[in-house]
Amino acid sequence: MGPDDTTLLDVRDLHAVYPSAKGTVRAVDDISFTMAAGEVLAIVGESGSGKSATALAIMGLMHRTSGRVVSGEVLFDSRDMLRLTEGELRAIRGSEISMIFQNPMTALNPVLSIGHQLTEVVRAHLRIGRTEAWERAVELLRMVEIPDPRSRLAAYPHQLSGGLRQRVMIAMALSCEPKLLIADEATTALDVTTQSQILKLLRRVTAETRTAVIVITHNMGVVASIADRVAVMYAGRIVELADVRSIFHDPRHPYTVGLLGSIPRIDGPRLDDLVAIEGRPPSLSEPSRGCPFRPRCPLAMDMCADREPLLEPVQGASAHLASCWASATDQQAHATRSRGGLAGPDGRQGES
Amino acid sequence: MTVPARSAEGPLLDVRDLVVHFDARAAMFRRGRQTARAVDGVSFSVDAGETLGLVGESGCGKSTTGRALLKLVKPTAGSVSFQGEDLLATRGRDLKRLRRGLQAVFQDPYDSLNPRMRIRDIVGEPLIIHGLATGATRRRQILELMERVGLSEDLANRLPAELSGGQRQRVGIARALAVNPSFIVCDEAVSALDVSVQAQVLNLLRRLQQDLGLSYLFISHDLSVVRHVSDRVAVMYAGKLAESASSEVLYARPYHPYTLSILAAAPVADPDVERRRPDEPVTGEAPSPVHPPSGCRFHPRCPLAQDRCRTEEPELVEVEPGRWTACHFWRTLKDGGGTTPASAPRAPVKVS
Repeated sequence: MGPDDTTLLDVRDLHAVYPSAKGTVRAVDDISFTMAAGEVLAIVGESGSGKSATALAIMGLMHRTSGRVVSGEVLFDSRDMLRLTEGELRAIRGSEISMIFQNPMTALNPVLSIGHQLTEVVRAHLRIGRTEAWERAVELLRMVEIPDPRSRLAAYPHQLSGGLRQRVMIAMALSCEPKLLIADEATTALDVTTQSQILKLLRRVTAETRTAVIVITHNMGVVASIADRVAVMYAGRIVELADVRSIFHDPRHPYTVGLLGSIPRIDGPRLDDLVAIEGRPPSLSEPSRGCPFRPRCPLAMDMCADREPLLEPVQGASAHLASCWASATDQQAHATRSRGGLAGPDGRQGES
Repeated sequence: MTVPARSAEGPLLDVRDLVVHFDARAAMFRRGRQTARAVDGVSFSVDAGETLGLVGESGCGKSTTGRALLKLVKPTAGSVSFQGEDLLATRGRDLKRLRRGLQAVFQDPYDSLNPRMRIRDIVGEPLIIHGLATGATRRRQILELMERVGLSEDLANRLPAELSGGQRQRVGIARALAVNPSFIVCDEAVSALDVSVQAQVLNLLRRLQQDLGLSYLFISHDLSVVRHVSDRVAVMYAGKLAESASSEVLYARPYHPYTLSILAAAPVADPDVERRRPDEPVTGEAPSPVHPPSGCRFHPRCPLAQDRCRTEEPELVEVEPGRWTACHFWRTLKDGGGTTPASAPRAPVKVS
């Protein structure tokens, strides 16, 4: 569990879809999780697993990508983000929830100086004067360890390296002291030494400001270095959710096991063959039945074809959840009971 | 200044003092031309059946090195000998023959496959160009190649857009294998793939090497992947080789401070290792290839740098059998030890 028991974010039964040429894509397919204030949650998965769509849904931004939330609740500080007006959402975005992306160049305005953009953000959310905002901007650049911050404010984005631009993005995202920061593949485009510096910076700054962070990444090394808890996504579902040590040292879902086995190690013995997961993820535009991982799963049983497993506590660990019949066969009764046995896969398809 | 592979018959590929300079446009509104020293005197060799990993951060010149071997960019100076013949001096028919032995697989299979061609035609095109097979023989060979890389026959009439990223990369590999090469340059060949698919392709590359006796130059920014596939590894920094050694040795006990810094910075998919991570010794970012630093190109970022490093460029020398390093103070790392994820147990970095 996170460092604080106060629930900051409570996502319940979230469904979100995209239209596509082949039909409706169930990008986020009934996911639920909570986050405590100050906690760092990593959402990890491969492309198309729904991790970025989850972030957009939380931010109330699904419509910007022509997607939409079908049902569910996103309770942020006890307000349902899905039922706020666009004006109310805008007031929350940037001040209480902010986001950083993989490519800071697309998020920064190329024709305005760093100082101009930083003070603009600061003044949009805090009622302070121009001079005071400028001083705040200097302070922010200092916080993200940009050397010589006062002269850097005059620079334009293209004059900065990728690492410095990402530092500016972090400064901007944290300028209004948000309660939640969403970092979507924020270090993916960076070189390894820069990535390590940015991860360290994110860890330090968010711990100091007690900002909760959702880190969206496909990189298990990044997950290991920054996360308190981890949600593993596959085919629009969370298939496993646990504290970071349990995910890496005691994974219970065969997909998590496969994902970890797929990664070559920089330490430890070298293996001849990696444990690849054969096949590929299912199409999310076709109706599914049973467990979405079944066609690739080494543990698949008959029942996996018929009934979709629910995300349930694994034996002996109430905070470690996995959705797998094979790893929880003796818990079937419990599994069907806890959601009233209503949220079966067939009912779900009807909605999307 | 060369890294010889140990073989009685001489190496399959031998690169000496390779230099690739580009004209860099001067900054806007400024007169004059500048030279980007992308590759600035690189020597290495690769034996038959061997994999040499070429690793470094973006802009270090590793891809340009690979492209120069393939004659996709014109080397400014240096020599490349392949199968004992001078590749750079060869023209016309002889070059076409030599090129059959030297193939390439690139990062984004989508960019390197003609979107309007069917898979069977893409895989078969080299057979036509090199006049290797016609009619029924060609059709049979195409299906054999597809089978060898794990593509099912029913994909033969599809277009690249209908395939997944992993399948497209398999098409790229099948196309490279069509002319029966002995050497393949893999330039970020698995970097765009999701990890589970990346593992499948890495396993495939290894199997092909075993079955066909292929040599690879495996160019990648991913240190873990390079360690996994390579027999020997060469580390590149700012257009030069910093160090090379067998994969085992280099990852456990680097003799160049740059190698140490990237190994120490690479995220490890293990939260226990990550929580013990020492502060990385290196800050800053790689220099511009237009204005490389004097002396050792790494000296502005190097924790071991002394006056000598600012003025005198270190040569790449064989300091132990099979171990080449370009650092005046490699003994400091040898004696003081540096910590890398592969050299557990971890201890703080000692810098004299």
